[in-house]
Amino acid sequence: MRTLFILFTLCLAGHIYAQEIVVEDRYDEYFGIAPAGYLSFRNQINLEDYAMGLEFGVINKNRNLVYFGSFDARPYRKRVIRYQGNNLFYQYREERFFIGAGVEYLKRFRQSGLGGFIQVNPEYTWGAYGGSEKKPERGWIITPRIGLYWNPGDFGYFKLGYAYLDSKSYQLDKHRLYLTIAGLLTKDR
Amino acid sequence: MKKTLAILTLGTIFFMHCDDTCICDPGPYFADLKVKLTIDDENPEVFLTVFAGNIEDKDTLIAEFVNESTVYYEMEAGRRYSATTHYTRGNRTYIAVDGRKMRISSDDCDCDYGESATLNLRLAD
Repeated sequence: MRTLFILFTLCLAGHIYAQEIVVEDRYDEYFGIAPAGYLSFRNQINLEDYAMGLEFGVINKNRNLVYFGSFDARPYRKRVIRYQGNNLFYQYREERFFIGAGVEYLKRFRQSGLGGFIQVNPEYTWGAYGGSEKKPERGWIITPRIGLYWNPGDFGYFKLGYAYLDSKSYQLDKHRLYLTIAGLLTKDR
Repeated sequence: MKKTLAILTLGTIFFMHCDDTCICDPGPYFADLKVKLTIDDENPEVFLTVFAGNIEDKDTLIAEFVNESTVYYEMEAGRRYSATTHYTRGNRTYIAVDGRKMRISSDDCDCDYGESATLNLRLAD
């Protein structure tokens, strides 16, 4: 009797375990592709300035909509010149930071790994001058980005595009090249 | 027995050696403050002022004419320093400003030391 009970228990446990494996293996069939965590390392560059940062958020089941938060910084202190009047100029070393959130739409070109993206990213920017209590201009900006992406597998994206980034730094060009590498934190099933 | 003695002796030497290298300086810590300047035909000599804190604090530590493009000052670490210098370009006057904190770091023995810092007052092209 005891042996029978043990065998029955083992079979039941095995049955439950087996069922779990089946559901796990056929996740797509039952629930579709799961939303995934999304982490991106991004660069915005032109001949006058450079900003690097992170984008972190969620990409939807259809893999065409990303909701994200972002943080960027200039990885060095940029020389900026401010006119004070009467032929007098101050040259400061400026630090610059950006924090924001946004949404990105991805459109795949047929069945290839290539596609296009468009993004809007409202950000707050602020900074500091080395050696001075004076602060550079700060405030809200809206940064649009557009470009192409390549999705070589189910692990992430490479993106290349254009960004209009108003860093509020004195006399700096706002048009930038946008380069990013993004990874999905939850692997597609 | 000989082997045990040898290991003990080597171990003692090793630990004594380690203790010797880990005697920490209680401070204050000093390090180099490097200041980079533009020295050219229009500005063969510039007036450099180094302040404790920001330039608005007006706590002047050094004020002198300099004719070298890089100068070093030994300063106490753990404090913020700033510097200014005046340049002339045609009929324009430029005042270059920079400042940063001279940090204190710890080494492998957990001993503190002052890290050198650089202030870049070179004029933009």
